[in-house]
Amino acid sequence: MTAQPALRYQGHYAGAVSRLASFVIDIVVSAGIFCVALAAISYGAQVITGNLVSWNHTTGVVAGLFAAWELAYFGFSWATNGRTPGMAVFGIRVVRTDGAVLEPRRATIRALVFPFSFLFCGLGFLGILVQREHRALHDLAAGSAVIYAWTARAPGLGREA
Amino acid sequence: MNSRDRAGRRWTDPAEALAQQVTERVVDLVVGALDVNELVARVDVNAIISRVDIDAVLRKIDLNELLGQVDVNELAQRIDVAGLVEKADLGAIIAQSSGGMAREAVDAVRYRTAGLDQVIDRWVRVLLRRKDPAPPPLLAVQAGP
Repeated sequence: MTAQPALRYQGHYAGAVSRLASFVIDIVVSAGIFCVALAAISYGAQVITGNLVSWNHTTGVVAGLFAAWELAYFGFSWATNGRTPGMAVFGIRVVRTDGAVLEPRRATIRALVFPFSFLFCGLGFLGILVQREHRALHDLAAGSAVIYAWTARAPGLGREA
Repeated sequence: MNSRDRAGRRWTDPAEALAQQVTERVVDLVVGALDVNELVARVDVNAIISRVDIDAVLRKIDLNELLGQVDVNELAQRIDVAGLVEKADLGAIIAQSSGGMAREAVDAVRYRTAGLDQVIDRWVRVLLRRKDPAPPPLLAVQAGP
């Protein structure tokens, strides 16, 4: 791979495959962390109380905790780094529509609107395919866009964005 | 040996011994009087080296013959491999190498997914019969952190 094609993508709007792949990684990572955390809490409670503690998945408690955790995972990642771990793997980043760093307020709006993009069979994500700047519903709501932000590590090209 | 030779040797042997003693004494005196360091300092080594045709000297050397005389097995046995490995910090070398490989793998994955993005984008543009060019990159990000 040469550096020139990688530079060609720099700053351009990221497409559906990169975004979907990064989302899959994020879901796997965040769900894994959530499961480990639940197990740790159960174990801790069991050690303290001496009784077997298990989570009832039929109630809305676990679902509510998971939703809150996902909101925190994505919102915090976008607000602090402009990208989630999955996005970091694929070298994409959330920015403002003018290319500036996304503020925490916009990142929070993006995270809050993000679940609504799944409604109506994921209609909110259609924008990634058909919109000129590949912006989904949550991007339009937060005034954000997702771009490629990586350079191949060839000599003289600087470090990863 | 006849009597004439014996008479000759009676004169020549002492003379030879005397000549040798005199020569050794003279040499000692000359060497003692010479300042070898000063002599060496006067020698222009660069001039001497410049006169030597090193290429010609190297051409005369039969490297194959020289190497044939070297007992490589014996040399290899003398090498302290464990000591060399200890000094080489093999862990750092392996970490650096594997880190480079991982980076290349990540770059390859990114490049491929970006390529797939372009393919899908082209399909959508054909389906939607969109003729306007793709939006320009957000250059402000490239200069940013």
